[in-house]
Amino acid sequence: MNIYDKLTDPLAFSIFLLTLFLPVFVGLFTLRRMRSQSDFFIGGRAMDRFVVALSAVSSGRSSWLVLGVSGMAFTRGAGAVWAVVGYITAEMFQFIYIGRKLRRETEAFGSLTLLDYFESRFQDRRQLIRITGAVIIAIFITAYVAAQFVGGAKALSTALDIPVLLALAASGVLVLVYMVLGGYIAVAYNDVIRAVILIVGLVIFPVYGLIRIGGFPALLHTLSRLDPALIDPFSLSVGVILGFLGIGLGSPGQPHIVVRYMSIDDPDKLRFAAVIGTFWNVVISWGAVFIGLMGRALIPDVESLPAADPEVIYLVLSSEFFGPALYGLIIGGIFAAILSTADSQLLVVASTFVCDIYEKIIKKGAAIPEDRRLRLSRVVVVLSGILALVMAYLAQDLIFWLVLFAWGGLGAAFGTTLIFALYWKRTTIAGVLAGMITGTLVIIFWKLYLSQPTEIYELIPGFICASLAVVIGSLVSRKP
Amino acid sequence: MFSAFFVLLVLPLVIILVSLLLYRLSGRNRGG
Repeated sequence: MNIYDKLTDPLAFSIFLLTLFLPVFVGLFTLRRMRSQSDFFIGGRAMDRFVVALSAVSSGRSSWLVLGVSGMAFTRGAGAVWAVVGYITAEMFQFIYIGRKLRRETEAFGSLTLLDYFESRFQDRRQLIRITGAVIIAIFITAYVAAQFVGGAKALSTALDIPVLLALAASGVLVLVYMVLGGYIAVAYNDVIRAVILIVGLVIFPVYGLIRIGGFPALLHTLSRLDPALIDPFSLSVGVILGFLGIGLGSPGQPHIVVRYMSIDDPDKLRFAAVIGTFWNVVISWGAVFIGLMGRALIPDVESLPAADPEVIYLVLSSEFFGPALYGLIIGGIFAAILSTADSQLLVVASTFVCDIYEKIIKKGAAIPEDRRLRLSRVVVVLSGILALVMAYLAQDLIFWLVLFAWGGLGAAFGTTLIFALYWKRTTIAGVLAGMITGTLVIIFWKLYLSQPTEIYELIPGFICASLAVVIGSLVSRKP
Repeated sequence: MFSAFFVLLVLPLVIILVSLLLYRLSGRNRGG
């Protein structure tokens, strides 16, 4: 059974294609707003609060939400909720506290990237933080983008029955065209459009499904008859629940999420953006959980799913429930989720190469005319995209190995150091370096050797060790 | 049954309410 069979319907196919090509038109419309490198990488610090709110949430949620969380709810039942509570709560505080302070300070310093901020904040003339941070970003986020491309291309290849290489090239070209045209502004507006597309997949879909099942009590009864543990959110072990909640510790360290706060037109508007962002995060995350639960109630046996894979429950149900128009939109929703993460991350990679490595490290901050900086940024976006696509095609094992550590590694390395940089005046360069390096190494070591025997999610020890490293490193070094 | 009802229907509302509360409490030019 091909889970994308219904795409052969011309209406479903046309709507699906429309969702893929719409971002290119957005790129064209935002082209005239690209006048400087600041416009290209952070929307000239002039973005609307709704756009920032939806973009910050969409960029953080990849296909992991649509396919992964629904699959988790299918397998584990109501306990899957813990996997979404952590990051929603973390991001709510991030908007209001970390985001607002970061937005103010980055404007004061004129910083375009997170590493720009660290360097200015600590007056790091030897550029040690920038170099260390750039290495971590270049490795983890490039692998992250490549992994998104692989996931998207594999799904596209199955959906349209085309070779993976062609699907990879097509998704790469689609993303790069609008990114080159409209930079950050195109990426952020596309996140908003994709949020609208996801309303069908993660709001209308679960509500309709619930009605079809006979309502919420009927859903719980069916699940409890299958296995009472499915409706007991506390049936999971404490370690698993803590690990799920710990996913949220990764959010403040994702440069592609944090950069969104830097782009808003007024820092105080991040307070309202927090409400919109949290509302949206709650709606789509609970939507994914409900889809998994409904899937289990309707198709209790995982063996009857294609390849016995619980993560295809979203696709199977959507094919069963909907006519061609909505189905086309729902499948478009998956790619929307994948691409909204990939493009945001790609922009971070490009800004690291252009602003951090080329302009600040190689050229040592020499004055470069604004039009040249903009041109260079566009060229580097294309080159970074090609790098990610080549990695996606040639080095899939390496990518998936690196991505295992990406969310946790970035969270431990940048999340801890950013919080200390913003809120603890005593933080020093040595402390930040110790935090970044310790965080990355602990995540890798724990994931490889300790996460299975201890059943503790690596980000929890990673975050704690990185925080301790920042404190100790700062206290043993000279007061700033 | 009650705990499922709580985490699936009440908890999301609680989180949204907390975000509204934070909005009120944080105030302009404070907090950040």
